[in-house]
Order: sequence, then structure tokens, then C-alpha cells
Amino acid sequence: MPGRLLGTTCVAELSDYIGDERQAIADDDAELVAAWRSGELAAFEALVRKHQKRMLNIAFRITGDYEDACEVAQDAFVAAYRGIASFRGASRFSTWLTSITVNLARNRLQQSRSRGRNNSFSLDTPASADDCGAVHEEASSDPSPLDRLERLDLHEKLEGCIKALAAEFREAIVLRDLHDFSYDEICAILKVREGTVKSRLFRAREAVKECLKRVVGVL
Amino acid sequence: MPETGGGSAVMEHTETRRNLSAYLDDAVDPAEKAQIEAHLAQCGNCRQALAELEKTIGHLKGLPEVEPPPWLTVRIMAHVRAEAAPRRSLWRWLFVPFQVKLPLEALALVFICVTGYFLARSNAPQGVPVLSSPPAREEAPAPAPEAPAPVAQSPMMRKNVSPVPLPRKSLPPAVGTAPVAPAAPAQQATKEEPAYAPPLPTAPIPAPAAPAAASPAPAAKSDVAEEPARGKMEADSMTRQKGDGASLQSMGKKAKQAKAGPSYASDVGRGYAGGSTPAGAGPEQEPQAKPFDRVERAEIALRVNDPAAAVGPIEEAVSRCGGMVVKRNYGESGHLLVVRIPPRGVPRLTDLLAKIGTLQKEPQGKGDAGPAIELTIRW
Repeated sequence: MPGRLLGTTCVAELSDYIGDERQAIADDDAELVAAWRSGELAAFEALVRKHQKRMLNIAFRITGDYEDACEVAQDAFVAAYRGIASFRGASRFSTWLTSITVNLARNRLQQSRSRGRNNSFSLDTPASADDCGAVHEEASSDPSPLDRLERLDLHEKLEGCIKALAAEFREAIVLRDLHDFSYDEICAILKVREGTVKSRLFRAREAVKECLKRVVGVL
Repeated sequence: MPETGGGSAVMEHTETRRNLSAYLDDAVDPAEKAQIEAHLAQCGNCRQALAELEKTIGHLKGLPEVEPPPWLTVRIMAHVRAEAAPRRSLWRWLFVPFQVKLPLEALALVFICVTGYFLARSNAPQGVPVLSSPPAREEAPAPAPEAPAPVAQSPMMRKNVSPVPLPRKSLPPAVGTAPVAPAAPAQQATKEEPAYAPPLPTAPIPAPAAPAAASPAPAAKSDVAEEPARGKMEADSMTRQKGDGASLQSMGKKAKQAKAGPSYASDVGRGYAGGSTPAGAGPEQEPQAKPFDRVERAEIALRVNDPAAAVGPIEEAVSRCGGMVVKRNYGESGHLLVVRIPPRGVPRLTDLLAKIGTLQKEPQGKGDAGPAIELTIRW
């Protein structure tokens, strides 16, 4: 791979680079995918068992709800089965599958928010020069979210801080910090430029940091 | 790196802060990395920010993963197997398996077409019934002895004509020798069907022309022994057809004369002709006779087991051969039927009559007869 990709990067090229870089890792999935293409459902089941936990967690961190995450993971695998013809093998199977999962999770999150199910933590984020606008502001007469968060343990508070993020920032931080996807893979999954990924990660991390500082205190 | 200035220092500070995240991910190029490190070496706030960022990332990485429910794989595979199940498209539902469904569908299509055809036929307006029963047609004018009756019936009778191209055979000698052209009714009919001799009404036997009796009787081949019977039959017919007394009388005269001469068939022909026209001219002297009105006469004798039952079949045979009944005479002693038939129909008629009974006398005559032959059938 010719060094890090900076600036404007074509997503298609990213997929190719990802494929070249992860050729060794992709070999495992490539065999199962090939068997699946030939009609072996057992190969697809093996892929399901191998990636279902990761997809579930991605969906869970994005949607913020376990039941929704289960449905999203289920739909993602079924969608992958239906769309096997569109998977050309230019990227890893896991990357392709993650892209499907993220899209479905995003849609589910939007549906949940429209129905008011997803109670994002409304943190009073100052309009700083760092444009930490990664946090939703939600007017509520309920007890202060900060008060609620203080009663929770760190993990729960951290999850709350993640839920408070906007969808695009949540996706970036989940893919990078929770699942260790590379910048290239995140570009391919989110179909954005590398600079956008960097910006989103920066803003998301800053928002979570500030959130934790408010609810936890000293990090 | 020493601060170059207040403005530039702020910018550098801000830029450094923005790159800290990428710096932590090692996602900056070497030049930027050097600048950031240089700045961090001099900026405690940025170093603190970096540290806090690292802790945050550390906390994020430390979040535990949730475990998938045990039924997730099963449910996923259930959906996948349902997707993998072949869906029968409409095409497959209609035509697969081919060896079973195609023949059935073809048979159903044929059945529908045939049913539709017959339904269309049954709903179609009924056509004119084929005039296949000479008796009905011939008997219609029977009770009407008046002159107009025959005329009116001419068209009907004319309809009976169904010329059947048959090989010409030797036709019986003209019993009535020279073909006699009937008078007015015949002429009228002739105009419409020159190919066939004008039909003659059966019921009325108009007064035959006197010369009819004088017509030569080249009945050389006629059976002299039959003449008496013939005369008797004529008398019977005379008694039945009382419409025209004059014609009856004239026919009676003719009957007597027929003993020595030609058959009354000629008289009959002449009789019709003599209705309204001067019947003075004999068969060989008919001033109004036209070439196509000359009729050759022939006779057929038939032996049947049941004469009465043979009436229908014989008349039907006549009709099938394109003939028309001119006169009927059914009596206890025997039956007589005078018909007009095109020459080409005579052989076929002969064959049909042979099936009905035993031919005792076959028609003999010229094969090149005129447009029609006046055939007398006796049984």
C-alpha cells in the first residue's frame, strides 16, 4: 500500500487498496464466500457465526438498543445473502458486511428517534470554537441527564455519551475506537473521504471526552 | 519549536488540537507529525488535551461487547433458507413441468376453441334450409290447379335444380320424340334458368294442345304392353286433378292416343304448354319452342317390395340428382312419377333407384339431350 492516503480519495480506490492490504485476512472469508457463491448454505452459516457478534455490537452501539441491534444484524445478513451478486470481492467481506450493517443501523436509529424511543442524553454542550456540535441538544423537563449519568457506572455513562452523539459521529467512533477499523476501511464503509473521517473522529472523541468529564469528572 | 507569534501560535495550537486525534491513530503524514510533536513539546495544554483524548479512547476501547442471543444464527439461517428456496415464477407455475402442463394446456386451449366455435355456430342466424324434400315442394302447388299457381311455383321448383355433373350416358329414346317446350309457364321459367327445362307444375295438367296427340310417337322402344296400364294411370291422374276440366279431357284424349304413340309424357309437357298458348302446334310444330326448351323423354321401371314406402326415397333420389317432380300418380295398381332432370343426373338417379328397387327398365336416350330430360318413373 503506497503510504497513508490523505486528502481527496476515491472510495472505489479505497476499496481496492483495502483489498490489497487485507489480502491475507480476506483469504479466510474469501473461501467461505466462494463456497457460498457456489450454493453452499453451510458456508454462509459459517460466515454468520464468525461475524454475527461484531455486527451485533456495531448495530448495538449505533442504535443504542439491543433488540433493535438484533433485528439489524439479522437484516444485515439476510441483505448480504440477497446481495451476494453485488459483492465483487474488491474489499473484505467483513467490510462489505459492516457497510450494510451500518446503513441498516442508521436507518433504524432514525426510525427510533422519530418515534421518540431513543432517549439521547441531552448535554448542555457549549458552542465552543472547537465546534463540538457532536452532541444532540434535547430540551427536557426531566432530571438533568448529567444527574442521571452520575448515578451510573462508567461504562453506562460512556454508553450514554455515545448515545448522545449524532449518527455520523457515533458511527465513526464506533468503527474506529470500538472495532478498530482502519481509516481506509472506515472510508469504504461510510463512503466518505479520509478527511471527513478524521474530522468526525476528532469531534466525536472530543464530545465524548467532554461528556465524560462532566459526568465522571476527572478522566 | 519556538512560538513564532501570537496569531500563528493560536493557529498552530488549534491546528494541533485538531490533529491530535489523527496523531493518536498515526494517521498523519511525517511532516505533520513532526510539527505536532514539536508543538506538544512546548504546549502543556495540548499535552493535557492529548492525554485526555487518549484516556477517552481507552475508555471507549474498554467498553464490553454484547453477546448475540443464541437464536440469532438460527433465525438468520431460517430467513436465508427461505430466501434460498426456489420461487416459482409465473412462467414456471404455468409451464413447468413441460411434459405435463404443456399437453394439458394445449388440450384445454383446443377444447375452448372448439366450444367457442360451436357456440358461435349455434348462435349464428339460421340459414335458409336446404330444399331437400321434393315432395313438400312439389306438393305445395298441388292443391292449386289454377294457372298462376304453377307460375308462382316455378321459382321454387327452379330452386330444386342442382345440376350434378355426370357423365353422359345413352339416354332413353325420347318417348315423347321431339322435345316439346311448354308454353308460357315454361317460358317464364326458362328465362331465369336457361340451363334447365322450365319446371312444370305437377298438379294441374293443363289442356294439352291438340297437336300433342299428333306428335309423332317414336316410342319404338316403349313397351306396348305397358300402354294400357299407362292409359289407366293417366285416367287415374285425370280423376284426381280436377282443377282443369278441359285439360282433363284433353289428357283423356291423349291417353287414348298414347297407346299408339309416344308416352303421355310428351302430352304432359305439352299440357303445360297448352295452358295459355295456342296449343295447336304439335310437339314438332311448336312455334314457341326454343332450342333450350326441347326435352328428351325417358322412362324407368322399377320393382319394389312396398310401392307406397318407395315414394319418399324415389322422390328424394330425384331431388338429389337435380330433378324436379312434374307429375305424380300414385294408385293402387302402381305409381307413376314424372320428373324433369338434367341429363347428367340420370345416371346417378338410375343408381339410386337401383338401390331402392330392381330396375326393370332403364332409361335410354341420347346422351346429348337438351337441358333436361323428362323421365317417367314407374314402380
